[in-house]
Amino acid sequence: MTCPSCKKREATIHITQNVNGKTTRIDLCPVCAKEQGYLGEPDGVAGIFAGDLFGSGATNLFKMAGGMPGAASAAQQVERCAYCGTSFEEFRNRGLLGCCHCYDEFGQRLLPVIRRIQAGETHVGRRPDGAPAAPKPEETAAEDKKRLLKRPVRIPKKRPEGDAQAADASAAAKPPVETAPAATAVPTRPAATAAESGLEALRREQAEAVKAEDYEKAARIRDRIRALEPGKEGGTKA
Amino acid sequence: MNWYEGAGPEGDIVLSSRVRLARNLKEFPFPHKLSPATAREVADRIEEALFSASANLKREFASLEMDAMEETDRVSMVEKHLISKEFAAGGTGRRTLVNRDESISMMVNEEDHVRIQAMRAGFALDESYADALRLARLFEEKLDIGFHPQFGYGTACPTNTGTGMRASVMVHLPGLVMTGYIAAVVESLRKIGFTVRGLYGENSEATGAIFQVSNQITLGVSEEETVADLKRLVVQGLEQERGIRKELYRLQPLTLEDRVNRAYGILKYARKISSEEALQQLSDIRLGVSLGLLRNIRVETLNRLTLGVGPATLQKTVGRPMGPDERDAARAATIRDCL
Repeated sequence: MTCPSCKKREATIHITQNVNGKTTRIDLCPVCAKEQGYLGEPDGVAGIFAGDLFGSGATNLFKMAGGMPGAASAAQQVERCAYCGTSFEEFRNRGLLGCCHCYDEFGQRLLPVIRRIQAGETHVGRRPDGAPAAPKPEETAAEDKKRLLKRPVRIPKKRPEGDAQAADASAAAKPPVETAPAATAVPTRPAATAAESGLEALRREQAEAVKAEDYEKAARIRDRIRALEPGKEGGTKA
Repeated sequence: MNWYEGAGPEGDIVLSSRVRLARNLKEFPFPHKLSPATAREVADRIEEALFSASANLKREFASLEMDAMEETDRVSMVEKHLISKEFAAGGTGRRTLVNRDESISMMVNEEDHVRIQAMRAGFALDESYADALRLARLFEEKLDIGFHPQFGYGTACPTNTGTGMRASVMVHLPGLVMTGYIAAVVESLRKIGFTVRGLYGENSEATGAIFQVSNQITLGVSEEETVADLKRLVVQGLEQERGIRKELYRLQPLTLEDRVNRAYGILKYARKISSEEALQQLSDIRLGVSLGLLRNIRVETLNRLTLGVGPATLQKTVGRPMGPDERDAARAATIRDCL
């Protein structure tokens, strides 16, 4: 719907106010909502959530279906991007965001998704303004992947399968490639070994995080362990 | 001459290096959310940014409206890796900006507003990255490009956010395939955030032992690191592949020579051949050339044939539509001429 106040922009902020038992609904666009004091800076929004802004006589059920960029982190449940109208549900179903502002709007709600598919949570590369790259967070999953990456990709000793000719050729090729430069990287340990030592380190980190009662960190590490563990998400074997 | 008609460093094993950068305009929804009119506006802005940058660029790049092209031409572009299969289906506002030697192609309004892709023959990732970056910078100067301080470049799919970069190499690994080691290598790469696919992208079979290796991670790793990581993996892969080839030849010279020469015989004398068989035989010939068993064939010829035997590209070369039988005959003739 169009914002009844400015009659121009889309009304994406919906506020239900309950004053002494009388419920009123207010629909506004983010700009008018801000002008009329319904949307403040992040702190203000947090105040509304804390429920002490209107005193004891009124409760403010603040339901945002969109929000200002800065408010996104305080308002955990942004359902719809105020700029393009894409709902979080839509994103979850389709896997595509609606516009660049969605990253602001949905903010931290995207993190669980991003953690599953990316190595880190923070961009460390180039920026359009040419500003220096952000310093790398100390313990990111990227670092772990890096450590794994520095090890050579190992070739397992496993007997190959395939057509008769290939099997024939490879049977003769045992032990493989003794003279080749690759020889140092070849066999004795299965390919999963590199990942396994990374897993051990992660498990240790996870135990430490639990001990320190940093459950958020522990959960993050758990997700990374899941991603690396064989047998999970189509890994080699259970 | 097109880029793929040359041969670059390590050209007997590394067919090509490619870097893709995704960029989006901040003030427009992503392509899947655009109305036809707005999609055209986005395409116009991107095209304008490129063409207004310099007279050279305007001369160098052609703008192709996908909906205005024949299907054969679009499919041929897919076969040459200039555009994605999905993009070739067309749609309002979908354009390809492509330079003369086809080493740079930019898909406008694919999943993102613009995907800049730079390709080079052989193992030349640094150069491909530099090519793509030059154009990304140009767009960043002229347009308001979406960027988030934490999540990096805004992309329609969060699998691309951060750098928006996909760096990939196309490699020929018959030794790893013949010995069956390839499965373990693919698995190891997957574990460290790299994907391996066949010659023609997602879900395609690795026909002719040709694989595309690319980074999967775009957030938390810089562009330079991504390129460096992939380079290191390619160097390791090259060592292993060369080692296995040498060893296979040392142990079974006759088997290998027979295989390579049979492939040469088939391609030299066949009167009709499918694109799949052609790729298989070209793979064996490439192996033979690399091992020095076939001396009068150049890697450039093999590169040209590998990308040139697809049904659509072949029909374009011949200049008329053909049925499958006729195509197989034309393909065999083209290959015979080249060898």
